[in-house]
Amino acid sequence: MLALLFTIGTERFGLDASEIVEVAPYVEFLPDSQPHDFVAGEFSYRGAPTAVIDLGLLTGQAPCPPLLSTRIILVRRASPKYPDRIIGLLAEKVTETVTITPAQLNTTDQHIDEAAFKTPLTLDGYGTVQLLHLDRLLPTMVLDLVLNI
Amino acid sequence: MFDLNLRNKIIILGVLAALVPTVTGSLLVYWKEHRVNVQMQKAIDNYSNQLIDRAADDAYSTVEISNLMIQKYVDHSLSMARALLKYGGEVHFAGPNVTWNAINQFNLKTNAVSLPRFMVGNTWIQPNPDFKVKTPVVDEATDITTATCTIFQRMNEAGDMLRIATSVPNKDGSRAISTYIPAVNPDGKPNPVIATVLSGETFRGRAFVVNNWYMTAYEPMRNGKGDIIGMLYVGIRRDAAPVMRKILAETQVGKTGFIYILYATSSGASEARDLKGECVISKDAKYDGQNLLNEQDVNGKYYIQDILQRAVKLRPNESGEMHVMLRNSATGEVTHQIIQYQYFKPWDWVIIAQAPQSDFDEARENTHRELRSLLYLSIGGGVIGLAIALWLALFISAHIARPIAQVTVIAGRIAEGNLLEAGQLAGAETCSLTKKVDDGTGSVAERFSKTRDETGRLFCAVRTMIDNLYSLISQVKSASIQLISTATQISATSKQQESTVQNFGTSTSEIAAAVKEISATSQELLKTMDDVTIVANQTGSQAASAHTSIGGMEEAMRKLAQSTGTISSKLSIINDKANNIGSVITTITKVADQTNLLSLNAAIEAEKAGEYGLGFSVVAREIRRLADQTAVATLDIEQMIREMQTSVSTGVMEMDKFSEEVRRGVDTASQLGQQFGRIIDQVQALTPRFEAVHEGMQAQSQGAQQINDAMLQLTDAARQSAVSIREFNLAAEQLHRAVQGLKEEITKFKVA
Repeated sequence: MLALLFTIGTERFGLDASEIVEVAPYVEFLPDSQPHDFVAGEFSYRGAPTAVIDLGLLTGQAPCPPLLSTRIILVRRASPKYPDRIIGLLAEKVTETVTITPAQLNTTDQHIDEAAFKTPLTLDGYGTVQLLHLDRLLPTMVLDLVLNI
Repeated sequence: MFDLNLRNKIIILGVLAALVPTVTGSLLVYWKEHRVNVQMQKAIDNYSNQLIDRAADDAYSTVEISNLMIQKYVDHSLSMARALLKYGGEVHFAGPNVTWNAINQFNLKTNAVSLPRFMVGNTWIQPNPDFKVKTPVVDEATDITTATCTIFQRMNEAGDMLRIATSVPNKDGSRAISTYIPAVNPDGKPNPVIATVLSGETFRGRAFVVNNWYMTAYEPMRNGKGDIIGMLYVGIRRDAAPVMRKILAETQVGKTGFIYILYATSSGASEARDLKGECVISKDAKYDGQNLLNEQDVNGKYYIQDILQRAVKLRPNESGEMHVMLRNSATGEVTHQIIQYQYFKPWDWVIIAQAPQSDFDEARENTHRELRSLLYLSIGGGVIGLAIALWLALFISAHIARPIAQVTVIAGRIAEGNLLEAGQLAGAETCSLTKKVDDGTGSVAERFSKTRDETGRLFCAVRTMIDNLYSLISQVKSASIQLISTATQISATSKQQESTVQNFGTSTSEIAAAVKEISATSQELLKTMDDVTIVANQTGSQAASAHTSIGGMEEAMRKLAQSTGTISSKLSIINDKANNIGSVITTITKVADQTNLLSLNAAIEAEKAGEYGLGFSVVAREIRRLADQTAVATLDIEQMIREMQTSVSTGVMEMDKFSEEVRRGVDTASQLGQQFGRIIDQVQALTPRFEAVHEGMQAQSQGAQQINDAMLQLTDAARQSAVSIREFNLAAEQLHRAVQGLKEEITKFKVA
């Protein structure tokens, strides 16, 4: 499994590449977009206005600073209300990918918390990386809230 | 001399006639003796030098012959050793290695080497330091020929040669093995022995082996393949020739002279022993082994050092000569030693023949004695001749002198003014008329006047003279009395005139002195003014030169300020460039960021492609790594640029400060320059004023001088008048005195 590495606050996270559409640079948001709670704004992705969630704000930490390595991870999400939509996730230090072997996935204790949005993994050369579970991080309720705007 | 009377003069004439030839003869003999002595000395010196030179020549030839004989003998010994080696079999290396502590014979450094065994036929030449145990080949060769013999083993490709068997003894009596001759000497030149042997030739010559000079031969040793694997050495101690030693030690030069031989230099010997000046052979082995370098003559000169220095420059068989004054240490007697020396180059020997000059003095002393007796004889003969001459002179003088003595008595009476008595003695007519004289005297006068020779005629003439004188004096007496009164009158008049003139002279002298004082004072003032002017001029010129220096300084300061400005502008250019680099770096950073983003997306796409995207994912990873490296490098560059900018801005600030100081320096310099200019102007303005004063002074001085000159002329004239009058006065007085004197003289003559 290939995972994209990024940072939120002080923690290092990994996201399964198969869930990612594309990584886009941190650009200026559309002027009429309204920041709201953890939503940083909207930007034009391939002509369509796309909402961007600041993962720092979402996880209750400081917003991501405007740096070159701060990028927008575009993922495809669906809810009963909005069957197929693309959402942007703003994260820091989005510069690396790492391959995670099935063995590494199995050795970790996945039963600590079934509901947690992250699973800690120990990777050689990277230390502890939290594997992010998008469906737990962004439940349908949150998605609807975001996409409704 | 002139007080002597006639008789004595004649005696002296006779004595001188005998004395002069005697003295001349003796002087001639004395002078000739000196000449003969000099000639004899020259001849003897020549002869003694030749004799000593011959002795030195003979010694040189003896040494030369010994050298030839020893060389022959070395050749003979070498062929003998070679034959023994051939008899033993082929030389070659074999078997297990032997470890040697090889000692470099020049610097005595030891290093352990492992070498194969050295074989002669089937015999292994084993390391053997003990003379009690026989070593094959070398001991046999020495037994037969008495020459020392050594086998060298080649240590390496360079050709260092190790002594593995030898009959040469060390100082401690063991065999001198395990030392080696390096292929290169300590001075970096190739060792001549090794070089010759490695080229396949036999080396012949002198060599300092272990502790002594040897006549030697070194020959290469080859194994079956013809490679040089060692060398064979034979040598004979050079001073081993006992006959030569005996001949030289017993040679006698002249009566007590002798021969001795010294080493001229220390070249070629070991560093441990300096052979220079060491005595090799001397009479009765008195000085053998001693170093005579510090022998001194009576003046403290190191004459042996002189000889060695000159000897090495001589050609073969050429002699050098030296004379030294030596003090015998036992008796304290100083003797003149003649030294002849020659240089035998092959052995580096200086052969010295020495003999005292006194050995050759006998002949000269004999000649000297003979000449001395000749001198005494000539003086003795002269004394006898003198006695005879004296007796003859006494006899002849008595005969001539008596009549002359009578005339002398008469002339004496005339001189006293006693004409009367003179006339009687001479038998003059005037006297005989007035007074009768005794018959005895008259008869003597008659006898002389009758003689017809010169004395008789003289007698008659004297008689006539007395008669004439008698009448003359009577007339003069009366005239002189009149003259005296006239002279007295003249003298009185002139004295009066003199006192008048003298008064006039005194007043003029006083005026002249006053004027002279004025003149001197004004001249002194003039000199002072001159000094002042010179000082003012010097001040002016010094101020001018200072002004020029300040100008130069100002110029230099200005240039410095310009340079500072240039440096400042250069620094700001550097700063701009650094900024440019910064913007370039920003661009590079952006590119790196884009590349990274691209690679991320590529990796994600590749992952989605599954199996088909594997290759592509590798490419994506590589691209990312490149981008990362670029970013890191860019960070470094940014850091450097930042540091550079900091240094540059510090530099700009320093430069600004410096240029401010320089500007201040320029201002100060130009102010100084202006002040100096003002000083110069003032001093220059002074000079013409000084000149005006000076001219005035000079005019004054000249005027005073002119008055002084006029006064002096006047004084001179007065003084001359005074002198003329005084002279006139004196003349008058003299006249008076002369007349008075005449009168007195006349009264002396008794005429009646």
